[in-house]
Amino acid sequence: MFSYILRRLLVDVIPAIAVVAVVAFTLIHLTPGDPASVALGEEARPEQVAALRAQLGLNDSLPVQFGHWASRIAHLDLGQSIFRHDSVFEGITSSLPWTLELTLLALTFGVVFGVSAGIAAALSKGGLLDKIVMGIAMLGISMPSFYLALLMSFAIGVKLGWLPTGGSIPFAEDPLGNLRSMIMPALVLSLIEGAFISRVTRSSMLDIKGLDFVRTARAKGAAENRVVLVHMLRNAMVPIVSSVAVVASLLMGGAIIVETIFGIPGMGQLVIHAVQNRDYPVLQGVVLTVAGIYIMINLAADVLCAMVDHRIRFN
Amino acid sequence: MNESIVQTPLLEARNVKKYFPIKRGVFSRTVGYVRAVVDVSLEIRRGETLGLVGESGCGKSTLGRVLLMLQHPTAGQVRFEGRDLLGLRKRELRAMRREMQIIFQDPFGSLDPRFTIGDIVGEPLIVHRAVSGRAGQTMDERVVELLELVGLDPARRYRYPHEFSGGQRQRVSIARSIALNPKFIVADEPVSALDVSVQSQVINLLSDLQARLGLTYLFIAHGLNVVRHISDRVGVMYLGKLVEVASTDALFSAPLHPYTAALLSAIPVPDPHRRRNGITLKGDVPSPSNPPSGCRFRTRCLFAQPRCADEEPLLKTIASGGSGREVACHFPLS
Repeated sequence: MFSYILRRLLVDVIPAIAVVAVVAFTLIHLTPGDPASVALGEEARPEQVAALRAQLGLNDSLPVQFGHWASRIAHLDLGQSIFRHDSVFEGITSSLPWTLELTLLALTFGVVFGVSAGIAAALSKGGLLDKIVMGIAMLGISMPSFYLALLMSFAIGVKLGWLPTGGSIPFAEDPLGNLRSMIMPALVLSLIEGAFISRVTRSSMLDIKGLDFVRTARAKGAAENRVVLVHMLRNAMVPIVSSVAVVASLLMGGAIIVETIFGIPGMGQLVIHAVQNRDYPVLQGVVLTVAGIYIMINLAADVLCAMVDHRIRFN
Repeated sequence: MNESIVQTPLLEARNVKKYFPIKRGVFSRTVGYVRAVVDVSLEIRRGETLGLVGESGCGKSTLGRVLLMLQHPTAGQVRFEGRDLLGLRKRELRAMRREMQIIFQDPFGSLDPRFTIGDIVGEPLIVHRAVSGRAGQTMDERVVELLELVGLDPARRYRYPHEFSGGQRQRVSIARSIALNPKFIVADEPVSALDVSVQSQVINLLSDLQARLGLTYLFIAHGLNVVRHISDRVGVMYLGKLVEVASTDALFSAPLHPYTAALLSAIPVPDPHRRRNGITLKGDVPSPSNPPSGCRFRTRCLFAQPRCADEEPLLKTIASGGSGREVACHFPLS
């Protein structure tokens, strides 16, 4: 397994990162506007802008600029932010934990609710419970997360006052307060994902439900819980694990919206400011980091699938 | 089999019916029923093998599952050692699974692909919290013993089903079915999915195990030749009904029901010069959701008379050649 992971890193991960770096760099530099004119404002004289452009190295040709950036990355240096008074690395390390906490919480909620709801729906196929679960799942997939976020913070945060409507209490200072402020954003984020997972779980369980070995398990005299959890769920795991990986990467995108609404100082806010200001080094650094995380999630899912299903080999 | 000993049968079924509803439309209205098993009564004696034959879709597998309560009968009564299985609660029924087991037809689908064969064979011991056999035996020892009993190398118990051939997988199924020392085993076409050369090995294994462990079998197959070797008595089913039950010798030497005769003449004979003047059935089996009136076989029977359409023949005991045999026909062959 170790050699498999090493081989995947060399053969898949590094080339993928390289492609992402090229594409991200090109797209970002092709968008109209530049950081020099944003920094100096609309009143600035052309000479001033030109001087700042020269200072930032923006007058070099794109390949030359890319070369500078790439050689810095090779030395594990993401560069300095143009607008923030820190390095890109510091910007990311201060905001990434918020986003990771949010997505991990959302992932946990989504998997727990999604898998159990999916199993319940599959077992009562065509019944009332099935219809309710699938109805909620449909709603969850269709409802935009910003709308749900506003509804929830109004109902639970303002009217009922159970949970704070937002906030940025660092975990290190007040773990309980931090978790309380994270529950609602994580729930919002997990609904879409949980809905998706519950549908995958349901259909995967239904595929397994009628198979012969399930009947064999019943003939052995195994109790219903054992039949469902040991025999059926274990066989239904592969599609579920794969879909969790897909959803986990989508979560990062959803997190940006949710973070903005609930005022969480995560990657979402970092990205939005960077886009508005054309802060090239931050944008490139964030894209590279997020792409790296996506690739790692997918690698982890492949390894997990092979661990769940011994017929999938590490090769 | 010593037939002079009068004893209660191990398993007794009375007027067992199993109907599957056919649902249509938005509101899943029931528009009819597939009558898979209709009024079947039979008894299986201790230590014997009752063969059960019939064409595909005649309800023989359904009957086998209903007898073990893997499917709940629509009506009728099933008694195992005098206990009414329909009256049992779920928990009691699960406990009864120690006594009665089943070997399924498909050795590929019936084994959980995520379990090693050691786990598959050992699972009944876990769910019934029983390492049966001699005292002090661990589960692993019992699994090794079982695998040896069915002729598999116990060293391979950590492997998964997909690493075994069809015949070997069926041996795993057999080891699993005898793990709890059951009294009764339904073998639901255990060899239909196997090569002919492997079929006889598996049948021999089943006979050996029966002699060693004192098992009682209901052996379901769709061809008479497979059943002949292993069965003491044979029952013939057609379209959900039992049409003839007789000892194997009597049935093969002198079939009474025209359908049995047709099945017998369909057995291939390995002699190209022998002329065959048997009965060849024409047409298809009628639909089990809309069976013919009177005798169900009349639409394909060479000897059908007007009476066959009006009156349904019941399974009646006929004394012939010293032993009682049962047939459901107005005009049995002689």
